[in-house]
Amino acid sequence: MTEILAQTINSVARGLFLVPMVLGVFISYRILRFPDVTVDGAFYLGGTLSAVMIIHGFDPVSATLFGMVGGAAAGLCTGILITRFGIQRILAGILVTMALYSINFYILGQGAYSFTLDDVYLKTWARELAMTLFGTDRQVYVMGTGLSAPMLSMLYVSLAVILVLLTVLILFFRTRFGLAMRAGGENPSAARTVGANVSTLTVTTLLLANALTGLSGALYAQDLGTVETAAGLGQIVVGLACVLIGDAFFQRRSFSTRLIGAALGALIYKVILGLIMLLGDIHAMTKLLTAAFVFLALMLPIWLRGHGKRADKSEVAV
Amino acid sequence: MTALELQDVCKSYHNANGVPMQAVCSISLSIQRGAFVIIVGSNGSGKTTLLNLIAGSEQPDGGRILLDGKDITDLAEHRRAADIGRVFQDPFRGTVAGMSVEENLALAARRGQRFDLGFALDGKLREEIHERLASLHIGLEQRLRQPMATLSGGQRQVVTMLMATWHRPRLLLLDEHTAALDPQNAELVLSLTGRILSQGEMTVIMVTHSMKQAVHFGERLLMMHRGRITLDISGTEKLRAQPVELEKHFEELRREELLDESVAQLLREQYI
Repeated sequence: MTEILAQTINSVARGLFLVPMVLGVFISYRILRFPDVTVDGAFYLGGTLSAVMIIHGFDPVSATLFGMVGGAAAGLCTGILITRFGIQRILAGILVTMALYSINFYILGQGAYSFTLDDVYLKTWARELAMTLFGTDRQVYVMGTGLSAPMLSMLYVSLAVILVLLTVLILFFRTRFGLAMRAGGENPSAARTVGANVSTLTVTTLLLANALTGLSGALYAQDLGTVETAAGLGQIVVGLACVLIGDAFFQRRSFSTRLIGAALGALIYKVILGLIMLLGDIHAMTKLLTAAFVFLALMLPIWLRGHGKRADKSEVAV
Repeated sequence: MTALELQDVCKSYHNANGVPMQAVCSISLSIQRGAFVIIVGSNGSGKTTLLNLIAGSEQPDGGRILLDGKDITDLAEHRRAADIGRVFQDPFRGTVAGMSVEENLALAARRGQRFDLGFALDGKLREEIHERLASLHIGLEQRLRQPMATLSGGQRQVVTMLMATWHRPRLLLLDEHTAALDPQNAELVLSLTGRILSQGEMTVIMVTHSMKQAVHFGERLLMMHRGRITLDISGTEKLRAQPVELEKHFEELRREELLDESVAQLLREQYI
């Protein structure tokens, strides 16, 4: 029992790092209505950029922000490929992600596939924070369960950061620009008739979504203490899985509620995956499980609704 | 005073076989400010293409388009939107289904201005939205926070109409805006159209399928056929026009077309 609780709390702590990316995927998938593959590239670009910054002596906060800027740049590129050059939306994302693969090798230097951070990064910070909060950097006991103090203090901090981020996003989507962004994705024709520049809105949506992804990538790399060039592989599918979990609870609610739902989806995803891990080390299987889950999550509503009747294929995409 | 002027405007498409088809053939047209112009014509006669060219959702192959004397031919659709309001035939096209009624109207209230980081809905705007919807007496003011998707086609078209005319545009384009509705809703949207137009000077172009509407509304009537304007009546001539006569004119054009077809068929059999 204590093992399950410990694992769950651990998963939630990890899951919080994933929340910005899932919010990003929610934004591109729900507003622009296509899975933006740039997320894969933006995720590891965020990771490598922040790692390199830390190695060059910058503090974790500026390193993380820099990772976010990297993600935003990736989103900007995809947006320009789509709106300026008229390239198919998924292909544009694939092109940018592929290009970023080489760029990551270059940033890491000497064509390394991975490297380890051994200086100041998020974990060191968390340890110092634990000393101030709990007076120890080892174990604290919550309900008879031994939990790592740095992990728990990191959880508090990231929870606060995520709440602020969610609030900012919810408020943003109530501004005139945020509303126009939603309109431009959902019904470009209606948006244009009220005078919105749909191309600019599309680029900004992708920029915002991938900036959030870059933030997640930076946090993830610093939490792990290592960066792999392949870290971003399939992140878009992970993001979709979380978005779909969130929608299972909040499908017919307001945009703000569904945004919160996506964040919760990220945590639920991590917790479920964490509990499966307890059954045995099946780390290599997680991507297969996630892909299968996304397939089922997309098909189930159609199968349930369909009852033998041929489902409208176009609905699967959204 | 001329509101809208088309000078020799052309637009052609390629059909499935790659053969160019003239959708709009060198149309020159001048519409006075405050005029209410009706356009009728069969399917494929170029009515919608003409509206698309005026609104800017399509670019002409040749010719110029002037609005209040200003050349808008190369202006992007969203840049023209400040001056041109539009209601489509498809009730789903003019409003954003996933956004609430008041959010849709808040966007329309911002027409012609920047979409900035100010909150879209404040107390003052909410009050105005409530007031304007309540004046329609169809209970929409009770449903401000509901998503557009929960409204019927007729109700959505009413909201689109309100959005298009929130800030009275220089030019209002109505593209068969009642054609997709059931008779009761069509009547509702039509009476609202009449009410909005009676409130003051606005130049309106209304495309319609209904000969009855064509006769009852507007002070100038254009009939289009195969990308050309084949009839242009106004004043007393327009007042005297009867649905039967228009139908007759229509029928003649259609018969000519049938003749074209049958002649082509005959020629094909003879020579190919």
